[in-house]
Amino acid sequence: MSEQQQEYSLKDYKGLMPIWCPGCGDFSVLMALQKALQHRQVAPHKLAVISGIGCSSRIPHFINAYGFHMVHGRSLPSAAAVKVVNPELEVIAAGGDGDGFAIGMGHFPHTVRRNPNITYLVMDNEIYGLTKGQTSPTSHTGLVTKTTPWENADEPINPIMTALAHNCSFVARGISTDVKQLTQLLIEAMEHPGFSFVQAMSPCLTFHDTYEMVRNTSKDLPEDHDVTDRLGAIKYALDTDNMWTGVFYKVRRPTLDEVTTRNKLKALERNTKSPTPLMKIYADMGGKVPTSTS
Amino acid sequence: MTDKRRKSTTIRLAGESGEGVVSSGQILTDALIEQGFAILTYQTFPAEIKGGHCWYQVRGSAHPLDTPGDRADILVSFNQEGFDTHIDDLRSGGLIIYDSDAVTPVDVPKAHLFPVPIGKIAADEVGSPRSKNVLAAAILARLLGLPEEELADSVTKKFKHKGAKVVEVNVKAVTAAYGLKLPEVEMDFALTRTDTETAEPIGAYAMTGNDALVLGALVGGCKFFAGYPITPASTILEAMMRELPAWGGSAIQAEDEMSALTHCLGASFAGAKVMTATSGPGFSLMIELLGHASTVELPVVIVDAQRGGPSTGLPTKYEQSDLNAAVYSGHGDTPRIVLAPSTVRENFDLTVKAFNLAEHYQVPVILLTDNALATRLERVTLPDLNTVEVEDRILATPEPDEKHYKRYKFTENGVSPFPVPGTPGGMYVCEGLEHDETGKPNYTGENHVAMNNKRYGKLEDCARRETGYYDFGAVDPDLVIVGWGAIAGTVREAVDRLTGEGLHVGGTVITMLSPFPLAVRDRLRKAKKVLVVEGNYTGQLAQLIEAYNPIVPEKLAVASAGLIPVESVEKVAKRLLNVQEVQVRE
Repeated sequence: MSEQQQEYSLKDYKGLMPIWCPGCGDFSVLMALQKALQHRQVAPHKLAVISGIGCSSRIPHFINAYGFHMVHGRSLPSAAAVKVVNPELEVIAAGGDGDGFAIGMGHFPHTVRRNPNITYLVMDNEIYGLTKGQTSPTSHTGLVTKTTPWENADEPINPIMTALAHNCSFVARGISTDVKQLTQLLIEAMEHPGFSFVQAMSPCLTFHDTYEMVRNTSKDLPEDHDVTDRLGAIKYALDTDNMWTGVFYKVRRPTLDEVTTRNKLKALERNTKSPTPLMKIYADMGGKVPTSTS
Repeated sequence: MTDKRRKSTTIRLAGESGEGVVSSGQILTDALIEQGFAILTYQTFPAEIKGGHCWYQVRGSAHPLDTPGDRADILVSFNQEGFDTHIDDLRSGGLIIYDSDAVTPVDVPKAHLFPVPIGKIAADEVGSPRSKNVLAAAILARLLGLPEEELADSVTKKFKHKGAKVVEVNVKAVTAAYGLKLPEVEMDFALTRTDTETAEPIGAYAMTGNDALVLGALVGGCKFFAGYPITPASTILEAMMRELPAWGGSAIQAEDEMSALTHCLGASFAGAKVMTATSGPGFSLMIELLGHASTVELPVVIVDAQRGGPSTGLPTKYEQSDLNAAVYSGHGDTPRIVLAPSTVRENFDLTVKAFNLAEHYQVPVILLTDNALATRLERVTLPDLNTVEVEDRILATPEPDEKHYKRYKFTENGVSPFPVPGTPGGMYVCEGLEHDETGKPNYTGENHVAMNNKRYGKLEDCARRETGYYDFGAVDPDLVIVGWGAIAGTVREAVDRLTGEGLHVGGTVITMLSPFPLAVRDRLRKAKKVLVVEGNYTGQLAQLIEAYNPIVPEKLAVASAGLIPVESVEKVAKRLLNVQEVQVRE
């Protein structure tokens, strides 16, 4: 489709003016997301963007969509449920590294396991920005911050490894300084049926400027990397010298909404032959029993 | 059995968990249900997986029952601990059946002893040590006046799926029980319908509180459920996982209670009617999200099947100590509706109502049940399920090209039409930050005042619309006994007995704890004395009543890991009415 034929222009995805600091990587991530949505011509009213708390989690306001600004760390379970209730919606969960890998970390592996057909975009700046400069779960060892005045002694979380450990069905990393690649990754993520995790390195100029680190260490995954090879992907995820970007891994697993839909059909079909105990009482007491065709 | 107007027999079985205590009780209960008797059960398990002391109580009658009974008319003890622990709860003149090879009876002045070598008969005569439970159940059935053939039928039905051999053995156990020589006792334990004075229906279905609650949710239109296993709410999760797909919905077992409620809020945001169920510890974890639901105005039903607290507390015991948490918990001003069913039937009715109110007002509704109500089996009469009133959320109809849709539009009763994602022109952000009508963050004092007015306006409307309590007993009472939850049955029975003695006593059961029902104030203000009965240490309902009414109620607040006995309520009531206890009931 040429630009002229398309129903939705980039403008159609714009919400309120972002309130991030000048130079924040999140501007570019937002741009990449809007471009990916425009490329896929997702109708804004059929788009749900769900976030937690943090600088990047303000993103629902900056996109023209149905937004849900959840409490801190809880974007994933709500996003998964939105998709279960209405599989026709394009569902994006978004947030930062603190939201996703500290307070919300408990939900990450479980959402990976359930495999809802949603995209999870983490804007990773390796710092707490909204609360003004505390160490985050992805801050590197040795980093001095307001809460690690001597040094950060903790090993950082490796989000790509965590995703791979639980057989996440789509795993990718992009950087805010390469909008073109990030857009492409987000398009692929949205198109992939299943839980798609995209880690977007997005530096915070105000509290932890990682632009140079991102520039110096990021590298495209080699062309011959086999995205179906989980062990191969793990090797790149564990590399501490290079920050590999691109699609690490992809696998087709039954999605949560496929499973719930399947269960529904199975159960509805059984309603007339061998109903569940409470359905039986319902029928006895005059209730209209739902069937797979009703 | 002292209450002549409503003859009933109460049986308690006690012993080591896994010994057949509960299964004996259940076999007897099933037989009573099949014979058309009213039953009401109470059970308490040890919190351990295997072993530990447990007991099961079942009360049977030809009339509707309000409580599982205080004292046992017949006590069955399989071991010494069962004998020693429960002998004091045996009614004077009652019968104690015990395994004569396992129990050495202590001197029991007012009771009849019935030693039966239960284990030996099961092993030698019947030929299966495991038939002990049927043997015990059959002895009890015989004492209750059930014919042998009918019990044999019931046992056959129950064990049919285990094969002909198992059925044969168990029928043999029934025969053995009916061949025993019974002791001579004055008390007549037999349940008969010949002395029917009232024609009150006793209900077609025997259901647990949790089952009735799940049915209420399904009839109320629940389409999404997420929960995390916890006693005594796990059976709600299990039933929802099994039932919901058949009703066109989906259920998810979450990784924790925060995830459970978060899933529900996502599903509600997407337009579905949703519910989660937990107990105290899980409810504590949900509180941040409860406040969130309140401020983003998403309908959700949250079941808290209370157990003994705080912390891990008494996981398998009855207690009603989460009232404060349900009514007040959370940071900030967080309006919510709290309903408290008091019977198994109300577990159905108030769950339907919980959904209706949640959807009507777009607020979180907490359903406070408790361990006794959740696990007890009771006969219920259900309404015509096709005509139950079910309310849906008022939906937004925006112009397709509308910009900045006012999701939180100010309205007369505070309820704003809800745009379901997928509706063109209705896009907004469901926002936990204080927000303006469009959902855009707004921290001005003026806006915060207006939004609090909007959100609390909904509760004020609810307080006007809902009755939230029911009354019984004397019209112009000298004493009003107030209860909530499972203890309501105790209050009802106490009021029945006291009015039967000619005392001007009334009962009030509060079924809506937030917003506090307006009409209750009149009733309590007019009463000369008010006694609040509840299963917690601090008297949480009494405090709530004091907060809303210019009265200081007397309280009988007991957290003793069990229901407060009816006779304790009677005793306190009589003391408050300055009535001399004329006779000792026992």
